Amino acid sequence: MAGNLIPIEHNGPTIALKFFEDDLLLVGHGPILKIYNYKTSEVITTKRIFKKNKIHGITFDRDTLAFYGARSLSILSLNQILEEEELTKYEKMVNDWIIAGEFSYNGLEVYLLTAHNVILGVDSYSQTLQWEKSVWGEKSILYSGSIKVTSKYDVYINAGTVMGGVIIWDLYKEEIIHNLLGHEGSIFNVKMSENDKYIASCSDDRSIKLWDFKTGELLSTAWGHTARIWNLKFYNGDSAVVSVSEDLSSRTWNITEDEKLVANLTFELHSGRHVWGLDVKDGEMLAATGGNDGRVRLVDINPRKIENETQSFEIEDIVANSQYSVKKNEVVKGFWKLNAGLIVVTSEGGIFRYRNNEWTLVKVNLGLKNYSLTNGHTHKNIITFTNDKGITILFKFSDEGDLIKESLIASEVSKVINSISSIYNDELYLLIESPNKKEKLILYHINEDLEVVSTKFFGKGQTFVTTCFEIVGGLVFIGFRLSSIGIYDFETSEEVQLIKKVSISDTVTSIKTLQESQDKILLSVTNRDGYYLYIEYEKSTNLHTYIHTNDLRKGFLEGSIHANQELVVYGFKSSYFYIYNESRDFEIAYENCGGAHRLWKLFYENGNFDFIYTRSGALYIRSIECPNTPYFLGEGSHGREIREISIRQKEYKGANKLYVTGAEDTTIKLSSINFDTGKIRNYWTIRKHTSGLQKIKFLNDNLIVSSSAREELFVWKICENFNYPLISLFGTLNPSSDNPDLRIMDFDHIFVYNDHELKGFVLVTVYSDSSIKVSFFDIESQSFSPLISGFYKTCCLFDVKFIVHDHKVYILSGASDGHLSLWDITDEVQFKVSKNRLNYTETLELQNLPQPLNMIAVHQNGIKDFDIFKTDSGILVASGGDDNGLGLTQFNLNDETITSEIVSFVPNAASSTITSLSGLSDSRLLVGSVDQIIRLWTFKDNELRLVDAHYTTVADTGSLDSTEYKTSDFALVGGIGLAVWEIK
Amino acid sequence: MGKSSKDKRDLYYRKAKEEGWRARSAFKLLQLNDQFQLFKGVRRVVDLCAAPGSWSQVLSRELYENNKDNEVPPKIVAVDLQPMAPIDGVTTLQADITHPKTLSKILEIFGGEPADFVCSDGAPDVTGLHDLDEYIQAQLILAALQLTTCLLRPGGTFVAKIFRGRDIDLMYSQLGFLFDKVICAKPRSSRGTSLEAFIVCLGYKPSSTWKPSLDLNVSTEDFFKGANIGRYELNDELHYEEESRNVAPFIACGDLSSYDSDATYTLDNYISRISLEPVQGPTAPPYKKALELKRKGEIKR
Repeated sequence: MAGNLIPIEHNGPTIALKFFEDDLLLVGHGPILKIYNYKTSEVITTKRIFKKNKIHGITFDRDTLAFYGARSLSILSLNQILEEEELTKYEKMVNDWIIAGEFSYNGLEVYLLTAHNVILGVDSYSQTLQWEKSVWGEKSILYSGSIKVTSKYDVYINAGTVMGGVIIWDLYKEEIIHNLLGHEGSIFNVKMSENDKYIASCSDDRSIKLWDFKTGELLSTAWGHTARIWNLKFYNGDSAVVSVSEDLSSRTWNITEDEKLVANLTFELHSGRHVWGLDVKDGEMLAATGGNDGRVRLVDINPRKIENETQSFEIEDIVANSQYSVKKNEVVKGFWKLNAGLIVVTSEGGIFRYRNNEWTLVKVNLGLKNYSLTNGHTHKNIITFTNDKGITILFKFSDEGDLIKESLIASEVSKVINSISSIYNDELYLLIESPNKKEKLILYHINEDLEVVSTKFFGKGQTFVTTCFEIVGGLVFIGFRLSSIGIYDFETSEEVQLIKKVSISDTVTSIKTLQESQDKILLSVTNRDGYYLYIEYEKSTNLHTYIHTNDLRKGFLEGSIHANQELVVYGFKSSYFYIYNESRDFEIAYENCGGAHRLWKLFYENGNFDFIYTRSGALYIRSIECPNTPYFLGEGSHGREIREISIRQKEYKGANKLYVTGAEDTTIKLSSINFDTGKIRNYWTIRKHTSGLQKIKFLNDNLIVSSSAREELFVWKICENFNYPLISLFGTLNPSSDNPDLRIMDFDHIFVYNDHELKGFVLVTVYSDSSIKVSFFDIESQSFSPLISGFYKTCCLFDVKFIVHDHKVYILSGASDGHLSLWDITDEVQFKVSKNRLNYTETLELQNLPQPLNMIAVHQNGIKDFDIFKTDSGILVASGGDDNGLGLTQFNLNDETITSEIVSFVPNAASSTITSLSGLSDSRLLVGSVDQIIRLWTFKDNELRLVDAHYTTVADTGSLDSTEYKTSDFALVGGIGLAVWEIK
Repeated sequence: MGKSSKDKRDLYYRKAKEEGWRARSAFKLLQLNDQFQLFKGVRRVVDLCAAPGSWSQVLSRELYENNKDNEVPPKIVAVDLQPMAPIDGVTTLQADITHPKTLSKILEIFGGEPADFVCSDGAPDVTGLHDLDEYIQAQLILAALQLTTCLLRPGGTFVAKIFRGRDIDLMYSQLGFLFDKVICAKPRSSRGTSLEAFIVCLGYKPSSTWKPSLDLNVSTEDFFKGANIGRYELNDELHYEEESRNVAPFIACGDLSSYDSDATYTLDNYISRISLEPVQGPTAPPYKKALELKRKGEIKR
């Protein structure tokens, strides 16, 4: 067949990883090998190793590499990989699944462990089978295993069975050394330590067991992962173990002197579900992990990492060098990090400086005793302490750390409950708040000589408590509890606007300026409940618009930092503090600090963070430096099944197009694809749905609709006024019942115009309980009103489309009973049709769905997807079913009585369920099915004919969408992973 | 099928509990039987991977209960590695289906006579690695098949659960060598959103040149060596070879008017809120202790 389908790029589960030479990391992305320079993220080469099978393992001896996966094997030299274009011709095959592969001691042979506990000896030069070895009666199936080559004659096979046993056998003696019993359930990984002292294993019971290799004695059992553990590795001279799991985390474990396995570090590295791949660059204690999300994470797993990054001081340590006697119950009450050093105030008014690893007493000020609110300006070396009586003491230090100036501000308030600061134009602004509702907020502008340049007074609501503020463009934005923002004119102190209920509840925790132009201010706002948004504020009209909204879903959200065009957020989740790069979707660091109720502050500069906090009276400084290797390699996608893809027709920034994906993980990703390179870039992961996505579609260039179970349907709006695209919630279709299983299976729309102005759209939604609803979305009010409601039968409706033909509006649906059904809703929809669009009318009433005009059984059971093509006489419907069939049905809409007929039907169009199809130019159809084959069909002259078929490495192939770019059609295919295809 | 199972969403789940089936999959066998008359004339039947036992319950009700007054009622043997609660007219064996002893025990029960029907509703634990899961599922079917080839009478029937993934056409092709007819059947009680289906193999035609025999030291791969069913066989050259594939005809079975397992039914609020006790409690999972530790707060970040 002609090669019309060309795979361009593949993002999918990453199982095999191997560090190689100084700075290379070999990564298997499905059947494709990518060699990265992991220090620079550069991709040195991308080569397909296997025709179909995925690379599950990589091993090497000097510069000869062996790749294995499923039943495939390939032995290649580094030169071959770098220089030859076509490598799949070297693919070899065995008769069984390969669990593990390793080179022999002298490199002349490759040992392959099969899933039936047999070792195949393959000559690495001739690549032919030399021998088979096994132990008698132990050929039951394995889920895991490893081969440990200790010397020419000492080769140990570690086999993990499905029945909870680990069989250790000697390859050349073909004898069992140990049958290690103790785990429950299938063994998912087993490894021997480098020095042959230990064996580590893990199973479905979610524990890791450490065994003595010599005696077979169980030394220790460790717990920690909350789902299955897929991979283990010894490192750091066999004194530690690293594990990766289905629970998305990687954990490290120390082997203590008394040979116990003790939990150490936990990293949350991937999204979706499963971490499969693991390798360690031992000398650098750098781990590479591969996730179902298609990403590779690089992480420092030095067992002493946290200790190395943490300094902690009891009050006695702080005063040790000073003539200062600690009072009973004296603790650290406030601190600020200055260029001059860390300045600390105690509950007794002792002020100390920590600089060059040394504590010095700066001063004792009894006025600051017991209640000190600390603020500062790091670069200007200014620190301020405010007490509850309204006295603020200001200190200025030299860069060398000497106290060079002191000052005092007495605020005329009865009491102070709050003192917060903000930097504007590199100057310090201090806000003082009294608990007395009648007393105004006082804002001081303080210059570097500690002089008050100006004082402003702002009124606030009776119940408001101030939490943060930001000054920009002559305005002061003040965040309050109860999720409100007050906007004040800086000059006149007048309230310009009050934005109430930014989120449902809780507190605004930060307001940060992202961009300022003549008339517009773009702010990022975080709310403690995890909700965050970008607000565009227009000064001339005082109008504010939410142009980006999202929910972090990670405990308490305390603030954000915008650096290098990326949004970094931080906060507390249960007992730890997290710093998370939200734009790029990865955790930067976490600190087990004991929870949110403590004195803490995060300082950021040039990619480095200092998280300073108190715990049980002691002061902790955790310094997180920007690592010298990238946080991740490869963009990746959802780590769960992608259920729907929609590509926007309009181009974005040159050769890119925006697209959205909806997945089983309940999230939506907004991304872009470059069709020249095949590279994807993710911008946002939107968390709003509470169950796996059913459908998501672009309606036009800036509106998107998504649907899922619980009758969730949301309208989204794209904004391109910023350096990267933004997406905000624009509308919600209210559910009709509280049935959590009621799924909105599909929807379609027609735009409605008022004269030439876009007024809204009519939306048809079909449900899993067979109901069909039509409603109108008004863009101005951002709300839906119902137009039509009714039922099909009692089965599940899978898909729906609107058809506008000859001044009539039709609904066409496909259902789990294999029928296509057509309704004429011209009268019920109430808007008049002209020129294929609907015209707005005002009075709308809920109508009943009429009886269908036509029903035709096309498939034996569920119609998984269909697409329609207009003809002169009506429409052609291409449909794909759970019955493996592909149908072409014609509806004649011009006749008095509407008729339909199946004009072409291919029963075995795929060997498994057809899940998605997309119409292309020239009467062509792209079809995806669970057999992992993408097929190109033509239906010229109303006959379905196969043009091309190509294997896709995306498993559970469930969605596809196509678009034209330059002179070709391109498609994105989604399932467990995402692939990019060109269709010639 | 526990109390808070995801399966709750379809009506078959409630129906199964109300009618006393141990799992909703009972309806799948009933619908398969309606389509293919699987039970007609069956005197000896083996249910493999039988726990918790809903297929054995169906066999008991349809074959044993209806014929227990006969002189010799049909014999039903259920095999699983897990223990199973007793069912009337069913002999349960807690045994490994790949073990030669299991075969001799079954034949002993059957008085040395071959089986008319072998079925398996077994599914392995899925890992999430699709290719591995498909491989393991195929191995499970092959393990069932190797026992089947040792005890099924010529012309007999074999039914097994499959997942319609990327290599299912290899399985169709290989079974085509051993049976007159191979059909992929999807009962309406099996959800359309699931890849689950059943392979119905009718008319067993044993090979005249290949004699199947169970041996502990022979893996399933080696068992089918020489059977000429189109399986790749290990060769010294390790050359790459595409095994033949074949698409089996697809038949959706069960009446269109029967309940739709993909649909959401609005039950009377009162009824839907009555929580039904599971017919048989779930077995203890291997990760029971991990769950306990987590619940006690002993597993932390």
